[in-house]
Amino acid sequence: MMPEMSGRERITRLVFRLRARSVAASALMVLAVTPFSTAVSAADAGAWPDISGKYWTSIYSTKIQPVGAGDPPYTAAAMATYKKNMAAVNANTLDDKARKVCTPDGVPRILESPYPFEIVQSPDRGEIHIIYELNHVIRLVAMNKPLPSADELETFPFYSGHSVGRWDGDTLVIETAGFNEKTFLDNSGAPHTDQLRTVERIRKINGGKELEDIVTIHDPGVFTKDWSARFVYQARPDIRMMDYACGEKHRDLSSVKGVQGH
Amino acid sequence: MLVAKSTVTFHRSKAFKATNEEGILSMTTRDLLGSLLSGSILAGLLLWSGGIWTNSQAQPAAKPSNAIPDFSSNGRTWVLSSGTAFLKVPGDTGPGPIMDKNFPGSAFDQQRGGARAQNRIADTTNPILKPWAKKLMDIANARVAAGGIPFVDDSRCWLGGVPSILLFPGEAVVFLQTPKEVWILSKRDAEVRRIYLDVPHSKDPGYSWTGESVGHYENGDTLVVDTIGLDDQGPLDRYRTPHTRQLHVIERYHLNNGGKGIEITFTVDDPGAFTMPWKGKVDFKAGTPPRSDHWEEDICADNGDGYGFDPDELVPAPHADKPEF
Repeated sequence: MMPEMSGRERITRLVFRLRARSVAASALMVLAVTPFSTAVSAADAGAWPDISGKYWTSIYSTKIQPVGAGDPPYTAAAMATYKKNMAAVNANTLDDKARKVCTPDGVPRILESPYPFEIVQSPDRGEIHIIYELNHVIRLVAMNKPLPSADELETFPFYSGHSVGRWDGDTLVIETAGFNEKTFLDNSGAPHTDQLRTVERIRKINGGKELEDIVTIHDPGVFTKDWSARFVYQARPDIRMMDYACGEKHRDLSSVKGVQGH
Repeated sequence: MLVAKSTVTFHRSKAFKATNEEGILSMTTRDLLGSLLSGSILAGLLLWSGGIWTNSQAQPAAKPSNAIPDFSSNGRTWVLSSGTAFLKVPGDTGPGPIMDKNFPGSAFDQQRGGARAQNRIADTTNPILKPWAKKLMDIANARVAAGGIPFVDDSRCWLGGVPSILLFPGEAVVFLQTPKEVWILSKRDAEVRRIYLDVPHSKDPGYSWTGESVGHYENGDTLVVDTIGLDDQGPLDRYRTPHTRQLHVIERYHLNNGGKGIEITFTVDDPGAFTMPWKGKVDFKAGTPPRSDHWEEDICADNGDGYGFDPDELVPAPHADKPEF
């Protein structure tokens, strides 16, 4: 995703990023102790922990569930937008291209997909790919690299954003920024802005039988504070990933609790 | 990318409808025929396509080597370098792939130069075509000659099949290699192929756009990919060459030029559509990072449903009438 940069270029880009962020300085105070500030990390030496494989949730929820319950901490204006969106979802009038023409869901919405996904680790490439069956979305995670510059993130916003990763022990930490504004945060129409940034902490749990992804969501355009959601997926070495073409018949989701209308 | 995607398209169902109106074996009929045959296809392929199957599945490599050819490392990307038409395999004595009627003997892109206004007219005198396939393509030729728009899957955001996905032009292709599996990712609309290594085909792989691919390495420089289970949707090249569910494709990805190129030769065997197995090839070259061939998000549906063509001529892009879940 990014060309190799010299140390000076990295510093220049980092300075530019920080300068661009200065408007949101107060918000960044909160982030000073969060992974958001640690995207530029030294390359980790040695073998990577292994979280590769196929995963599939057994539970689906239309609304993203913040840790601790309740609604995401929307500002009053954003909550008004959210309520309009929810009404439009119920009336099937929401301009939701992800479900109508199958553009990518973006993060965190893709995390609640009732379809399987797979993680492919390529240390030889310095990359991890997360490949989702739904809408054949590919997320490229560039390992141990800085995020693109604020200028590039703004110039080339993606549905899935731009992701960089690092290992924190056995946990893969992915920071993502540079989202476009064509997506929702979940299937209930939760809005966001292009100020959205996410940090995911992904690790195996339960003896490797499950994968946990705790995503922290930062978007001062709509939220009064950062918040988190937790997703758990079952390891499914027994399945194969399948093609997905919008509007065609796809795999049986009856094993995923909470899926309706399939 | 918009330019590349806007050169084509022809409503597949509309093409089928036109076919029906002209009294030719319809796709629906062929689907039925395919369904009747499908029960015996998988078992029958083993016997029917004997030599090809045997080559890919059972014969030992001529020069056994445990080395695994490296298509992947150091963030490498690949791009199609041989144009958007299949080439004839050097030394092949057979008819070869469908080529252009107006530019015979070579790839459309290479012959026509800058004449972008020239649409593709298939050379349907190629003896590989069964009569129904020839008639279908002649109809498409007539429509294109009259200013119509040919249908190519990926131009309208449908998945590319095999081998048509090899003709995705000018955008990054990435190989991911693990001991049990190879992924071939196409930047163009984030399409994914999966090749399961050193395993036989499933007893019942079903049918899908990308089919079921199994593979193995040979000679330390080649990945051999054997694909069945391909649905009969979409043509298998940009000349609207049709196929049936009996399609069986064997590709050989041969690293050359010191690892800077891949020659991909393939054999197409589909007794439903062709009178004989035939061969073709394309060439990939290593991408030139950092920018021109790098991987990035490239979403076909972003291009909308317009393309500036008469909507009556277009295949609708994939869409769901209501949210799936």
